[in-house]
Amino acid sequence: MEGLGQVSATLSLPATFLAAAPPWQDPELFFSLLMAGLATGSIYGLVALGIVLIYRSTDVLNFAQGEMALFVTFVGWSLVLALGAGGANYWLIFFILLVLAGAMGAFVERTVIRPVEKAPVLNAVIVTLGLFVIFRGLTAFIWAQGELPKGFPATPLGSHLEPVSAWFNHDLWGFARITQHQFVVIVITAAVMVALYLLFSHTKLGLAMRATAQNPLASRLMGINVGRMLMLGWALATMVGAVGGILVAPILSLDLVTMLRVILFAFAAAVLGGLDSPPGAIVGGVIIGVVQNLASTYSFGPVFFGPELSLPFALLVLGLMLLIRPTGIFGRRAVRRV
Amino acid sequence: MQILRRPWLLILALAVVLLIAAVACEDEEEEAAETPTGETPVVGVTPGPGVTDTEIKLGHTNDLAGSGGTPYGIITLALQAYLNKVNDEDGGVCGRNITLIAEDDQYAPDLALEKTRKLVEQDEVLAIVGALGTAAHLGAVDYLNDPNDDGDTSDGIPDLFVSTGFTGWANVATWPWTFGYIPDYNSDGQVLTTYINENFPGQKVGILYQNDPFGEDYLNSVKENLADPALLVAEQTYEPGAPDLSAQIINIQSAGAEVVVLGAVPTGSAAAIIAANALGYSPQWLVSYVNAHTSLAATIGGGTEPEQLGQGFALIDGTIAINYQLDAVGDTDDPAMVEHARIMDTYGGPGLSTLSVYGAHLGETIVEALSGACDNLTREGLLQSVESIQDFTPSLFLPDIAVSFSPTDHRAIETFQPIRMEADGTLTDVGDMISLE
Amino acid sequence: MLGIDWFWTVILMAVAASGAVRYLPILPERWRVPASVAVMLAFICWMPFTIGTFDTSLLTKAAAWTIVAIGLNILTGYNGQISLGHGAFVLIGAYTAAILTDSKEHLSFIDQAAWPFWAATIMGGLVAAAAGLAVGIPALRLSGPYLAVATLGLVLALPSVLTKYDGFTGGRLGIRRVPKPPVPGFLEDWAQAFGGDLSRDQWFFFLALFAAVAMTALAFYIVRSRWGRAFVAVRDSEVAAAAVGMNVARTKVTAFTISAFYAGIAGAIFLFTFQGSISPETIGIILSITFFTAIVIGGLGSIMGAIIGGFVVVFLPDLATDAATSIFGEQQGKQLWPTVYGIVLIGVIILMPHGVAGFLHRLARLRPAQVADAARGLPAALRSRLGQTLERLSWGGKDTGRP
Repeated sequence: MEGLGQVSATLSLPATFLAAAPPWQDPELFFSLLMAGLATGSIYGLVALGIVLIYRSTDVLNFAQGEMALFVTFVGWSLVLALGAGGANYWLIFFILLVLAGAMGAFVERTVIRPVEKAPVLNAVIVTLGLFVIFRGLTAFIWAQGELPKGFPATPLGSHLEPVSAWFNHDLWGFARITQHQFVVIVITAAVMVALYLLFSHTKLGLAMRATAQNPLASRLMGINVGRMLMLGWALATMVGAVGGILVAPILSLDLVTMLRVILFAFAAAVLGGLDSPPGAIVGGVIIGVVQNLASTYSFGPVFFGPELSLPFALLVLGLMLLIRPTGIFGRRAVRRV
Repeated sequence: MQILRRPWLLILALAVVLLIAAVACEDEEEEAAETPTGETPVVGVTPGPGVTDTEIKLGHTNDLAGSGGTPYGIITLALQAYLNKVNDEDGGVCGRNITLIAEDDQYAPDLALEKTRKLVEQDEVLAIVGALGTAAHLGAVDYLNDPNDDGDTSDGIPDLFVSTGFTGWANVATWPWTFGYIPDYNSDGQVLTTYINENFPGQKVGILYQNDPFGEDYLNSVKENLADPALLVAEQTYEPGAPDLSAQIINIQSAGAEVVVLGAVPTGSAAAIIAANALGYSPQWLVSYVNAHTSLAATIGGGTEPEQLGQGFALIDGTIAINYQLDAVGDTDDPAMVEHARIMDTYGGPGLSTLSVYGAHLGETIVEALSGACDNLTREGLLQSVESIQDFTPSLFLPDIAVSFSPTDHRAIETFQPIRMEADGTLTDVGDMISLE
Repeated sequence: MLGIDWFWTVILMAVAASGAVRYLPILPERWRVPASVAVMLAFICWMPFTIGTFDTSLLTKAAAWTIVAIGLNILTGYNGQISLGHGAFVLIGAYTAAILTDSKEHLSFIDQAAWPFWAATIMGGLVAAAAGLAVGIPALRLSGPYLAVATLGLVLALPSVLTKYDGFTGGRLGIRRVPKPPVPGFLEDWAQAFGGDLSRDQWFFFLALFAAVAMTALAFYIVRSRWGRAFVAVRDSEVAAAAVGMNVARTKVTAFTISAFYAGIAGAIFLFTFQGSISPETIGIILSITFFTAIVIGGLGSIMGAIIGGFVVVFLPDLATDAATSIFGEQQGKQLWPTVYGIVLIGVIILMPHGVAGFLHRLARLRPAQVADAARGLPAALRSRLGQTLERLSWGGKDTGRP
């Protein structure tokens, strides 16, 4: 009785929740939600990008992506503690972390992923789950001895406290209400996208990596060192993930579960965009980020799920998208060979 | 015969048999050597399980290794270090050493029940102390209060000082053996709302709460205790770990709230305050006590360097909360904190933090409870001792805050002191202590 | 090194005894398999009377999780569909059973009188099966990693839904103090006739064991039936199966439904024989993923593997903790055990690509001649392996691996 009443209440007009004025009445609200969603979505997209890069090159879903990125970011925290985070130091630390992430990714691929390449495909899933547990355990062991959460500085490019409007002294119709750091996130994500595009389509190395992903045998016959390409693919993906971690740390601060929610939405984003499409990952992330923001603020006629259902709602959207396009928006259609 | 055609099988079989025999015999020796607990009688009352002439065994469940995603493993380390100090320097309690057996329940209800049963049935501990994790302990609490599940709670196991803010631990009728410890979130919300009623009458109130039992406690207690319920103009929730709370803050701002309650953990509070700052919105913040002010400032500022902390403190200037324990960063000169640092250093405890301070004063309260039961070291005796604790202030508490229990009151702290966070990183007492008797 | 106590001793004896009966030429060929099963069962029935109450409860939980593993194995091992979210079905089964046996007014909206536990269990399985049907149909469109992520979303979203509609489900706290099945009169009398008595924990264990055995027998039947062959055919090649006239869609959905039924039954059994209460957080994402890990480690496509997997779920963390504490000491070990656990997982799956069951299978098939050959060739093999590794490690070398 009571339960049925609750179900029907969801589907009727909300009573106590503030249903915001629709976009045409309050465009500034809409734009600020849009920009904030874009920033959040960029983070999901970055992490999703790492997942897609690994899947494209080695056909493995790396469940440990988030924890590896978190581990690297925690190392960054220790470095910040030792060296300080002023200007040049920050970029030095950033560079060190990228190198560390790349080395970690390559090492992991060579030691634990390579042996299960020829094995049944589910074995690789187990390996990444094992990596998840290992990295989380190590992170907890090394850094959970002191106070958590730990703060992490934003890039020197923009403060994570000041809004963008501080740069322009103008609100720009709500576009400028996000923090400077959130804006930097969007810019860096775009830069990463551009860099990867240039790498894959305009360099020999990128061509070699694409060839390896498409047809390892033929690539080997063409003289490409397939093993090295695989390691490089993982290194690149881990580096991208590390960038995501470094950028999200000032927003979410460093905790054991920082990457957990992010990784779940990142997986959703990767699947949404298509697991073999890097731009799809970013697009998927942005869609999820924006939709989440909009759905918890606006009510569309009789349907208002309320903020407590924002997670199931996002997953429902994902489910529906998958039904329409089972391999994601930009994913290649799976061709079934007989 | 066939078996001789495969001699290696025969050898394998023999090896297996020998192995089993060896293990079984060794095991029998071990079992014979084990001293059954509680055998040696002490003058007076026969001691309860887990008590011998030389030791008292206590059980403890927690997400020790962080695999459930919580960082509370340090509390156990700090507690163990403190108890080591008590054993080493104070001669233990009741002339016996305290042995803490800690088990990892990975924050899962089924594992919490499993480990609790192990501690009670296999290790035969006297009591469970400081269980952590609301969802996890909910799996074990029914068992501790009524192990045989026969409706008779007289054979329960003391479930002391459950270290979560869930309000229900103090429900004496349902769980007579369970005691809370840290201020529960409902009480915190009540105190904050009382403060609002007295100091910001007539102003519109908004609340941002985490979408889980912790946050909902604040929502419910604000709704129940607000003098004029119509003043609550915005209720916004967020998923733990959501990176961006602009939508929620925008909603609260649009509703015109001048006072905002944050039923949130430091990550969420920081995100909310930062978002509000970016929007040019600065209401009167009241935050949950889980937001230690230095931790909150560091989270906002992005680190613990003076400049970053300064930025953080600037944004939380004027925020109201309650506080009950000494601050690991702000009170380093306090003699109790100095002693705490010494204990942690000497006995292998973790670095100083809010959680290490917590583990230590939890230890102090446990020792206090045990001391009151020295002449009756049984489970019932311990229960009576805890229920008779009146106005006990551990050295690491703020001076005016005290722990009190009674047969009808299993909530530890009833009186709270509201504080205001200042831009220079200090805390100021504001107003009188608020009592929830 | 690892603390081998009485509990593990008995398990070792059981395994050794039934293994001996199975593989040693003691009995005639035809009787070996059933006899080894009987020996194993005999040991298992003996265990609750000799190990403590706590260890009995552990076995009870393992029995419940084994049922999940068997069901999941039918879906993933035999039918090839990945589900990381089977915990959701377990939760649904447990909730259904709890609602039906709870006598609080606001929850038993179906019938004022509470249902008997066995009816509630079956209903739990059926409701979960219905949910499996509802999920299996859209799952037809997805495959591989997409299906994995989608099912993960299921177990993520369910707790929020369960919490929101608390008129049915008791909200955050869930349903507490579910009435556990009492020891039946006739069993008590029977036990007393043998000069002992049956404690509640032992009764729960036998109840769970009965359910596990029944579901295992059912699984054997399913796997050897038309349906079982259809599952495998669809897994191996959907196109070929369709080409010979199989209804692929119906087969895949049936696999989902059956595996969800198993999960639901397991959830109800877990509720009644172990936990006694249910809340939205009782079966979380970690446990759900662990079920999947368990069947892969145990061995896909093998019922024996699923049983091993069920045990792995319950006992591996403790074994990892024991190993960690003996290597790193008490305090550090308790903090480092996840790392050890992860290393063991990775090690096992690399060394035994077909799971423990697969490995044992191959081991049993070894002929002494093969073993002798391998032993003789070992030094040479090691030398060439070493050479290969050294060559690969030298960065300048060309990749000469096999295609």
